[in-house]
Amino acid sequence: MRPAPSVDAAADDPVDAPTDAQGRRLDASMDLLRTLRLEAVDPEYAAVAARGPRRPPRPVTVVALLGVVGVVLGLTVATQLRAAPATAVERADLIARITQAEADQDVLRERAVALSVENDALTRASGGLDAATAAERDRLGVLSGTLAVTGGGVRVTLEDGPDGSVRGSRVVDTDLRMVAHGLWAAGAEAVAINGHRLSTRTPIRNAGDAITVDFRSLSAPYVVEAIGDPTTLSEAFAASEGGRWLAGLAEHYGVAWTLTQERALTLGADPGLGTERAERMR
Amino acid sequence: MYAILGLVLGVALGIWLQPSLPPQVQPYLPIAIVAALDAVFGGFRSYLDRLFDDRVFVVSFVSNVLIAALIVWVGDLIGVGAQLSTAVVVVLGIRIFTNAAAIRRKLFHA
Repeated sequence: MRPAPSVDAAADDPVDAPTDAQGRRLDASMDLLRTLRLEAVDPEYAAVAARGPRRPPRPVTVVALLGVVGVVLGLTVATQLRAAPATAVERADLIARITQAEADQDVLRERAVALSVENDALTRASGGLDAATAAERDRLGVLSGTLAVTGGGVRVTLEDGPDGSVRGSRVVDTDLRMVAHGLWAAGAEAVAINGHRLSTRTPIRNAGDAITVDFRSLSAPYVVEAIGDPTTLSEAFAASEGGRWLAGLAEHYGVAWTLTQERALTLGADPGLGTERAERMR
Repeated sequence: MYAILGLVLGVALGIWLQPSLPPQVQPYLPIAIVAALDAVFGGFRSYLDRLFDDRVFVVSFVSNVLIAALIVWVGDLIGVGAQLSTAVVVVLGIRIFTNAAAIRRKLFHA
């Protein structure tokens, strides 16, 4: 016969706990913690022990159970072993597809630029526009970003902080947006980030670890070029919210940035600004 | 003896294979581990009390793990997963500490 169930449980439970007239413990309503402590060992251990020794299982049962366990284990191991290379292969395949898609996108973009230049030339050559309309077209093209522009301006260069793993020391989409907005606010007439001209339809956002501008991922250093009066731009930018943001980044996260005045900048056109669905409201 | 061998084998397999959980069940692993620890401490204490029973241990181990994970999963579905995790951790934590204290008393008489 095994010894009586746990003595500890009895020792933990004050037998002379105060009770009310019906013999219930006064702390009956707060039984949860007491039960938790007293039944810390599953009561089944005591119950099974009280029942006395068990008849050992028949060998057939043991063999069958072991077989089932073995099959499950083997299956798990096999899946693990097979899944690991499969994941790597899938990943490599994905990377290859991404690279391919990016290359395709570059080709298409170049083609779009070439076509829009050609389109422009043809429109001019056809003589369908009178001088006033052509001038208006050029003006609008410069404003909207459909035409490449050149002129003096400033160049802001941003570099990730010294330790890229430190939270916040990497340049993110918000930083570039603040810079672009600051330049617009300072009076820039055209802005481009790493050669991507900003138009009304140019998103600047984070995708994974990279910043994308116009859906193309960029890598550091980030060069933001803006056309406008160099002196005014640089002074007004420093005082703008974007300039203060950069100063904060440099102070707190070690993001290195420089602003240089440039005599001649050339910003390309933003291709693909045509519309298919949107029409003028009448 | 076999238990020790199995433990060594399991640890070796774990290190060698580096098994990874499917991401869907990953949030429930910590709770399941706490539940498993509770079962282990309970089993060890009952062993010191000479009450240990392998069947009870295996059943309590597996059911603890499954129920803890199930509670948190249901909690996640109805939006109180974090709170239910806390509840499970508190309850199991109290049990683990109680059992650990009892084991300590048994082993060191202190």
